[in-house]
Amino acid sequence: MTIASPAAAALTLEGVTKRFRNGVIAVNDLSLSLGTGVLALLGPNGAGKTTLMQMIATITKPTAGRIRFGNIDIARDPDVLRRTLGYLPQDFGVYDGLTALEFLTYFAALKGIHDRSRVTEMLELVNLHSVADRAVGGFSGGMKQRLGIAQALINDPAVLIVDEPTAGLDPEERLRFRNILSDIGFDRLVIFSTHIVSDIESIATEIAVMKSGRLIATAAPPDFLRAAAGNVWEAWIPTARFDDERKRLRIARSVRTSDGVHARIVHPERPCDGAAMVEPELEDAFIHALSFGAAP
Amino acid sequence: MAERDSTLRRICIIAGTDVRMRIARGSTVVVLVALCIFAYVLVPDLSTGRALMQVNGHRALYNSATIALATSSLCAVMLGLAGFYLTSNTVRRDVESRTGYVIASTRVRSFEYLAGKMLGSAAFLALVVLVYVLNVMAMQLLRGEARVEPLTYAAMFLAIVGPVIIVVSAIALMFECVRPLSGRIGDILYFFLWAFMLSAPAATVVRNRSDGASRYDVFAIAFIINAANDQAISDFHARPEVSIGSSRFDPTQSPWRFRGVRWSAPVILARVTSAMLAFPALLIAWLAFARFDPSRMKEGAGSSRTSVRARVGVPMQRMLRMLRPASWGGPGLLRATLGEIALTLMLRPAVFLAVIAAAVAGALVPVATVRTAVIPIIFVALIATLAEIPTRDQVARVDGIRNGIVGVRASSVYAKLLASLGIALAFRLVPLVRVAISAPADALSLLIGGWLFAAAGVGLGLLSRTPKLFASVALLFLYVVISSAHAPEFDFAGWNGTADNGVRAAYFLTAMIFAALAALGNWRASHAER
Repeated sequence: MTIASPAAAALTLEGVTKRFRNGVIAVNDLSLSLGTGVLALLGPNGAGKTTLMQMIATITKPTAGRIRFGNIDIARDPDVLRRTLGYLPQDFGVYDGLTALEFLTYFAALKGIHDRSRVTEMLELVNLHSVADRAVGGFSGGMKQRLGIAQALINDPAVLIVDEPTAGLDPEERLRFRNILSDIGFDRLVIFSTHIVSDIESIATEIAVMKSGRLIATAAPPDFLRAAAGNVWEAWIPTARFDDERKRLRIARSVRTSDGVHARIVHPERPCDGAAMVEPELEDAFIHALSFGAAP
Repeated sequence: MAERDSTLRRICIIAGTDVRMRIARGSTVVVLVALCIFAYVLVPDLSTGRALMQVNGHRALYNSATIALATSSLCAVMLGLAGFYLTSNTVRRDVESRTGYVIASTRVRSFEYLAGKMLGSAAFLALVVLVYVLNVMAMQLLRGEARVEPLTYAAMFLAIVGPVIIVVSAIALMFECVRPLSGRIGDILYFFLWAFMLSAPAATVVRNRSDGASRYDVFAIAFIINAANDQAISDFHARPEVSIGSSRFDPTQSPWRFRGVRWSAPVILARVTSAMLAFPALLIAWLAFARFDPSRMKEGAGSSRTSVRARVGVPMQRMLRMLRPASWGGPGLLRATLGEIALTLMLRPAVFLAVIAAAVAGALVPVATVRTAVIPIIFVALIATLAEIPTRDQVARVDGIRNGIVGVRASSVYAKLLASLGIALAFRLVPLVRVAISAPADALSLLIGGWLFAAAGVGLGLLSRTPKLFASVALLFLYVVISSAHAPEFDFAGWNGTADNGVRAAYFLTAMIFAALAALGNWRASHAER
């Protein structure tokens, strides 16, 4: 089967489980249906995001359940997805001795792309064309990451998987990265894992929250915000009381001042006297989903 | 997006990129420069009274056939060992950089990837050999007694070194893919495999004069013996004694002219069948290759509850933790040294078991066996243990953190030297006492031998930033020592009882040079950071 266009991409996960031989269950009975757009996969460290992405990227197979691309089970016929897949793993490294052009040409060739202009086009997209002939060993973390996204995009994938791509990047690089993903996410499926909510709030069309290997919530960002409405508060807490309150409450954000601590709290009821209900932000909705398991 | 794909194309791309990456490394330049020096030393000037090859006391005339046979045979032996350590990092590079995950998510087949990697390694080794051949031919221009015949060189190197390149590349790949063989244990095991592949065909030929051995004669030992014997028997009408390698010759004897190998179908077939040994190695590599699947790689690494590591290693680690070794480290040379020793025991609980085993064996077996068996085995274990001490911080990427702690940077190299020395001493303590009672001078050699390995481990490790250089050099050295039981100059640790004070002083001085190199490297690194 060949994919007619990136827009035809559709992934279905049915009861997907990954259990390692040492007994650890990294992903537990996860079901999800995905069309086009940017899916933000949120969750704390160890939630199972990377293992899930590795299963979708056909690197490792589920121990139970199925992942279908169109109607094809990718465990049985991974090439159908691989033909149109772009993948940027977490902590992506480079071959120090190669230039950016050589590095990208190599991965292009492995994906069956031998059009040199496509390589140049990708280097321009990620703004590395001016350093194309420089050895990548001397690149900054952000430049290496941009090279990583270029290799992921080189075959114009219908499904793009990027695993914590903004970790370790400075704010400017993160913004640039978000813009690239936002630009390409209209007509294909982009799966973007992170534990930094601000990375996805402007680009995600769908959010999935994972915790301990399970999918605890999935919804569009507005629905997420709606689910958290009425559960987010702001309050002034005296400095002396703050440590005790922090143990009792889920504090999303806090600013210390001379008058006390101005705290943003996620709680199903009024957390303390003087607390005022406020409009939730995506970060609050994420904490709300993680802490209280409230699915939209 | 236009896609044009073929298996051959993908294999060539992987191989080509692998070669390009290897050439771009600084260590390749070092290897190539070393080859120039090696070629210069290998083909001695006849005016020095030394020759490259002799038969029954007659030096061989320096023509292309002689020089090609002698240099290719030495190249085959050296490349057989060094080639493995030079190339056994090709899959690991993709694992560590995580580019392997990207490759695994493409349509590149596992066999295409492995074939590309194997060909890349083979092409790199072929390039190294080509530089070596050119250097040797240049030496013939300088010191030869006949015109240079490039075709003679090409045929000889192709026949002798060609199978070595192919088989060693395949075995290195196999060791990388089979998880239990992919670490330091594999490096040591390969040394024994190399020694076996080197000696078994030769022993068979000498014992039986059988041609059967030539079919699995990767290093061409039987081929070389037969090639020299064929002509020498007819020239001298006696069983010839062939010597290859720089040695003194008798100038009163007339030179012997080697006319070259008589190429025949069985000879060529034997070399081809030797190269075919690469196929079983590639098959094993393919079967064991995890294709970067983290769950398979973790299983192979022994995360299973039933693995040997889980059964023995984990309880051993728990026992060692009761000694609270983590608290041993800290500022100050003594505490830093104790910290390094503690870290070694925590990371490799097997070292603790090996020290106990060495002590028990050293105490129970006859002293003659201690000298001829226990001590050599201890030195092999020392190579595996000491090789990673200087480089483990860098491998674990904690060197930056460590070096940021006040006082640690300055004392780090000395702590590693002392820790290596301490571990080497712990291994040899009981054998040392046994040897000291019967032969105190040999006990001194044994002490110096331990210091040599400790200093060389740290020196070569810090300079090359890889444990492989020390492991390969030390294993090759041990092979030479064990093969030269009557040569006092190789009795570095006194187990042959032939070393004199001059030899001891020379090895002590060598150890001090390695230690000084380590200190110099550390000083330069800390100076560069300022």
